[in-house]
Amino acid sequence: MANFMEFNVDATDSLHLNVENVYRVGLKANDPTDANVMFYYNVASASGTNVWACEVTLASAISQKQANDLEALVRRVNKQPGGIVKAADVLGVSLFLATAAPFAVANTAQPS
Amino acid sequence: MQNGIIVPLSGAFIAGAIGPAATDTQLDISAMTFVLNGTPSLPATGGSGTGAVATVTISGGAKTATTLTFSAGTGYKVGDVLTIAGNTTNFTGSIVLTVTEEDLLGDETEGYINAPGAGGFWNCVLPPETGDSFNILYISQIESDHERLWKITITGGSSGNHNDVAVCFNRAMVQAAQRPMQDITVSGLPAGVAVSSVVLS
Repeated sequence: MANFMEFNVDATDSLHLNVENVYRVGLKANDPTDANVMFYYNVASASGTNVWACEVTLASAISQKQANDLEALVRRVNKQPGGIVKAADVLGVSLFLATAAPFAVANTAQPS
Repeated sequence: MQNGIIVPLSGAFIAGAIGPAATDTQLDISAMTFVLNGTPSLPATGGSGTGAVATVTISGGAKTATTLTFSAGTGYKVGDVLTIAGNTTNFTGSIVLTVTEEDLLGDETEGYINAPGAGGFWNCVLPPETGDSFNILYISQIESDHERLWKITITGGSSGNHNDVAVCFNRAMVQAAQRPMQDITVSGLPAGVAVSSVVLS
């Protein structure tokens, strides 16, 4: 069963990202803070070594520490089949997803 | 075993013509009597939906070339029997249509988003965006070497309800992903929003 991370879209609603195969979470930019957070997936590859990631865009920037804490949440939920963790536990309840294109999934470069 | 997400569709008619009556067996013109070539717009009665108006194209000086083109309507289902009564100017009697999957947007009464097979998984819901007039959303599905997108086309989407639409599909996706023995039906769409079609790209 899938494991999800729940992100608030506003004060009452949320969207979920399947994080079952996520092995790393990091800021997209090599900066102290960024609103774009990368979730890297360990996905079986039929050929080559594709790296899949979901870019989660938040309404405002978070720190490297918060990204690390999100990764810790991912590891925790992945020990609970069918579990859901709340990103708000790290980000706070008032940090929402961006209103436009909050999720973007793509084949991407290996994280450095 | 495999489960999925059931998406009730709007039951609207396609924009294309249905017929001609001579070869399209879903059109019954046995009770129709030709009077004059023309393209009258006439209401369709019967069936489980509402709002469908048929433009009846009568040409060639006979009833056999008759075709129907419907305004969308809503709520129609496969197997519905609709009657278009004659206007006396172009034909008398009636035309009877038995609705098939191909007559409806989405080609069916409900869409089905089945859980991906081994090695794949639903990833997230991509909410409707302004570039698509807020009338298309996706469920992202990752498989080995590629991403596949379930494209869900809606009517009635707007900047004011696009998150609400996404939340409904998100709820169904999460439940279906966590209940592998159970199909989950999308529900709670905002007022005025209906799903036209579901396709896997």
